[in-house]
Amino acid sequence: MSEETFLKVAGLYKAYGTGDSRQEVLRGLDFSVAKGEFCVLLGPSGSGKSTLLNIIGGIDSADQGYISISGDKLEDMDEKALTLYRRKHLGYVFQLYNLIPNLTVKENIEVGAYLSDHPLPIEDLLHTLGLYEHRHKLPNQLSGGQQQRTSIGRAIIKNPDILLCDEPTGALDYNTSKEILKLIEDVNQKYGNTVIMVTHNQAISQMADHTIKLRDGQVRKNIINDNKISATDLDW
Amino acid sequence: MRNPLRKRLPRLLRQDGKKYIVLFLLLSITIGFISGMFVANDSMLLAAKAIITDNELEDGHFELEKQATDALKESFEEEGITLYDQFYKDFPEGQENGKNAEASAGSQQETVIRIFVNREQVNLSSILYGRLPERTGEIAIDRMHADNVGIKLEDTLYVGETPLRVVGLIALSDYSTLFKDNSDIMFDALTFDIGVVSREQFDALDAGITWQYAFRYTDRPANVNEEKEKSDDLMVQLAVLAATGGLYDDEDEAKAFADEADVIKGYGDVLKEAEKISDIIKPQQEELEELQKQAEEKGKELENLGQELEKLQTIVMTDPTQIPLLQEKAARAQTLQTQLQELIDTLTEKGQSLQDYLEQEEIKQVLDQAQEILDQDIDFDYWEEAADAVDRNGNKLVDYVPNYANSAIHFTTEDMSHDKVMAEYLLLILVVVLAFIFAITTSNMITADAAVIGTLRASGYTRGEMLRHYATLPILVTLFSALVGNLLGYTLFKEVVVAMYYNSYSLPLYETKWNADAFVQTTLWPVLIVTTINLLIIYRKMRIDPLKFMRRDLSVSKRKRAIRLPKWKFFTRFRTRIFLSNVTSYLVLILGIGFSMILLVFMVGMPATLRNYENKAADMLLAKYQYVLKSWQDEDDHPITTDQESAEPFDMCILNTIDGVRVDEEIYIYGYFRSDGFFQGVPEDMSGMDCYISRPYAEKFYLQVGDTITLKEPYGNQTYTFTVKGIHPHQANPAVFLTNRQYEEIFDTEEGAYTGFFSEEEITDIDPEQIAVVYTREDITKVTDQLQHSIGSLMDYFSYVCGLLALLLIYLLTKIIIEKNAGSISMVKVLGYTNKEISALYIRLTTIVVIVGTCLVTYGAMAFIRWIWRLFMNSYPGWFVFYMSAGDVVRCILIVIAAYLIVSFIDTRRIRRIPMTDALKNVE
Repeated sequence: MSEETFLKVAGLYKAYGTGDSRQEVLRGLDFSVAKGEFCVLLGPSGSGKSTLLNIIGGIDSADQGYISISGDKLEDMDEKALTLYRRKHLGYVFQLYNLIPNLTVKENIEVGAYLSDHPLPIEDLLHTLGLYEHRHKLPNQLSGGQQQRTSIGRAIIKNPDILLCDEPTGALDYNTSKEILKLIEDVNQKYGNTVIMVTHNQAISQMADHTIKLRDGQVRKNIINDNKISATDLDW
Repeated sequence: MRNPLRKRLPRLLRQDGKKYIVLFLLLSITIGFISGMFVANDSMLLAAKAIITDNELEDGHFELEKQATDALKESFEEEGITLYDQFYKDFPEGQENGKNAEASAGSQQETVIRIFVNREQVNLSSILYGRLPERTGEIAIDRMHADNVGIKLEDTLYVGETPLRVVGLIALSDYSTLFKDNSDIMFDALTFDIGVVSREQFDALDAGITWQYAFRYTDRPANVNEEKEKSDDLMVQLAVLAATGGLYDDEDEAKAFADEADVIKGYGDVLKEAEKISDIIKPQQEELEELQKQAEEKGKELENLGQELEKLQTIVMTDPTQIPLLQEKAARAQTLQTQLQELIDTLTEKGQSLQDYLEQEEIKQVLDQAQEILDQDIDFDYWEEAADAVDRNGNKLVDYVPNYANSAIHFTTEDMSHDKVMAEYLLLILVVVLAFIFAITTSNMITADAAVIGTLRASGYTRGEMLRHYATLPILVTLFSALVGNLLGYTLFKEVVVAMYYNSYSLPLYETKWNADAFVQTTLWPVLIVTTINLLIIYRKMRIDPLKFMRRDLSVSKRKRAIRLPKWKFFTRFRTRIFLSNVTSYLVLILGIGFSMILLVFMVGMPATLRNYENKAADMLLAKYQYVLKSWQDEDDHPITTDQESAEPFDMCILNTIDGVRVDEEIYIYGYFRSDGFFQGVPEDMSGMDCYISRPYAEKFYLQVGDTITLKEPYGNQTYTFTVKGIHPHQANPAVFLTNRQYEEIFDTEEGAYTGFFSEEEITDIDPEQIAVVYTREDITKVTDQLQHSIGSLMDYFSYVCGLLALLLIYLLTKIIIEKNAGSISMVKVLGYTNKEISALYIRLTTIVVIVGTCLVTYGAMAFIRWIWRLFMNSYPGWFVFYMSAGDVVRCILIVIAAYLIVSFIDTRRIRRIPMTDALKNVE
């Protein structure tokens, strides 16, 4: 794991609505994430962690402050550049998987592969994900865990610099959640991607290199974890 | 408490505003137009039908070769009809400034006006503007023709050379559609007009009269079937009565009479022959008698002289002076004896000569026959009187048109009824298409609301409540569209349709009638169809368990396995998956395009068909000019000939079909003299009942070589059965071709007789009085001229309306498809797909579907319209095929593609606007 700053969040403000209904979601966030780091954004509902993730993903924009990746500020990027940024650097994993319902497991992963000039070998990845025998199934023929694994496959096949995970275990049972977390951990270790995971499950922070606790749109704690444990050892 | 979900409906309406506005516009405008058509149609039909009772409409009419005598008319009326003289004269029509009326109508053909005397008892006129003519110099003409060619009240109209002031614009009850002849395929309001004048004016107009008689039954038939039966009987009776001068009304009796008359005529011929013989032998007999008398006188004188000589011989013995006297008397006796011998010789010779003449076989036969005839005691006076009656009252039925078969009376109502049925079907198809669009929209809404529905169902909301909630909007929008449509129908669109009908038909003034049927057809049916289809689809969705709803698993059936796709490129597979998962929407899209294409093919194909018919009109005629003569011989029994080099005689008559796709279709029977002239393509010789038929006949009646066809006389029961030996590419009419020898044998015509001439050049050396009719290219194209005038301009306009309809339908359906896939589109955007790539997936797929679908439905739509066209042509006399050139087909496709390009531009923008946050909304 490199110590150099890869992702920098500086003075980030974000509000929704106007007048009386105006609600500040992010209020001056400042932090940085090193390359290859497994970073957990931890916080209760409404703390602004998903909004932060969306801004990092280039899906949403900040009102003030900026986010830079390897020194490139997202706010300086136009739509085309942001698309290219997402295409080249990001992988997304969602709580409810967001698979394309009319594509098979393999085809969903190919959706990600298409975006990369050098995708990982899909057959190997299917084996790694434990999905090889399910590769011709549609998402609605899979369990939640299998769907999430497909979602992870789609995100990592292009070997992105950053893997953004938004409550990836939020819809899964305990054992499946641990399996998925282990998978993400393995991916992080194997491919060296920077993982930014949003969760409200405090236990998950134990497997992270870096935990940022958010509340009311502000960073309450910024913890570097020197004693992280494997996902298989997590318990909650 | 009322279901609180209802508060959501206005928001849903706003949320999907564009879609509902398009649906509302489509439905309300269609319903408006159809409703307008129904209201106008039914109101005008009522007015048209009221004419039958109010204007003393005829039960039929017929034409005779010459004016019927009172005796013949009396015999006609004894058949249970009342006759009304309805004579007319045809003239060229011209306008005040010297131009012909047709010039303003853009036609090349001369306009003909048919002049009647003011009707007072039957087929009365409806006055639309002005009044009926009361004195000489005045005329009232057909309102529609006047509109078409720009004649107004007080204009001066030239009837032939006679200027008449137009004092009225009328609609004649027996000419609600201006058919010049009942056999015409189409009416002709451009170059045909009718007018009424006073009796004095009629008599003053100089032209040949057509002896037409209208009739009404004294005992009216109870129904149409009875009317047809009665009419058929009457036609035969009238034909027989006319032919027999009123002596017989029964065909068999007339035939027996004719046969007997033939025999009697034969007897007469024999007696005449016998009389000739008698005339020959009578002077001879008289001479013989004279000779015999002379011989007898000489003999007597000789006998007396002999007695005197005996006495003188006795006297001479006593008185010798008497010797000279004796010698003188003896010499005289010698002379007398010589003379007597000469007389006897002459008598013997002449007697023998007469005897020889009378003993000739043919003379003897004639005399024997004459004796037999005289022995029969035949009442020759009766037969002489009968022959006189036939000669005096005899006539020929040349035309017979019962009311029910009169196109001029019924075309309007039938055509309006056809329009109505067509409109009903169009509305039905469009409503079904829109009902499916509503259903797909609602289905997608349910998919989007799945979690909410699951939660509500889990909370205790019933299936019925959810079903009613989701069915409400489609039903309300349809109901509202129907109400607005009906409102438009009774106001704006009714006037549009009325104008269309007044442009084509000579109809009386009408009153708008409330039309319950229109309300049912345009309101209840659409609402019922939309409700049923939506309820069925929503009900099917609502059968899913609440838990599955919450899990967004809305597959109604067991989980489907993914179809394995070949190893295509990734984007190709992706597009295929999109297609497969949206197959219903794409099918409805193709259905919608198909519906638009049916209308479009009709709108583009109709003028194309007319143009094609016009362009080929010259080729369709056997000759440029077809002259039909009144008789092939002049008054001196000399054949009528021409020096025109291109002229060629032909035989022609008309027979009617008795079966097949249309009964009573007029088939032209031609007898050709040469197979290498105007009838090229027919064999030089045929025999028996073999024939060639024209292509239109073969196409209309599905005839092939080897088939047999049976035709009957139009005004009799004689039938003829022919065997088809070949098909001739003559395009104009259903026709049969025979050699002139066959024609003469089959129709028992005089050897060498002909009906008229075909010619490439105008024939100028035949007296016009001897010509019955001339057919030229314009006679063929008057059908298309009229149709072009009635609907031609509308068709172009409506083809773009169809393009707009296609645009709206494609817009709705692609919008639905994109909305359904908004989540996936948003997701791939999040993943980093560019708009170009997303368009390559979704827009290109839709483009492929639209292009392939358009090509397929174009073929289907053309097949459908061809089928409809055939049904239409089967209902009317004549035949021409529905035609679209490759260019016309391409034009139809391009209109749809152009509509799609506009939609795809909108869709591209729509895809671009799908926010990436849509993909994330599901997460929260």
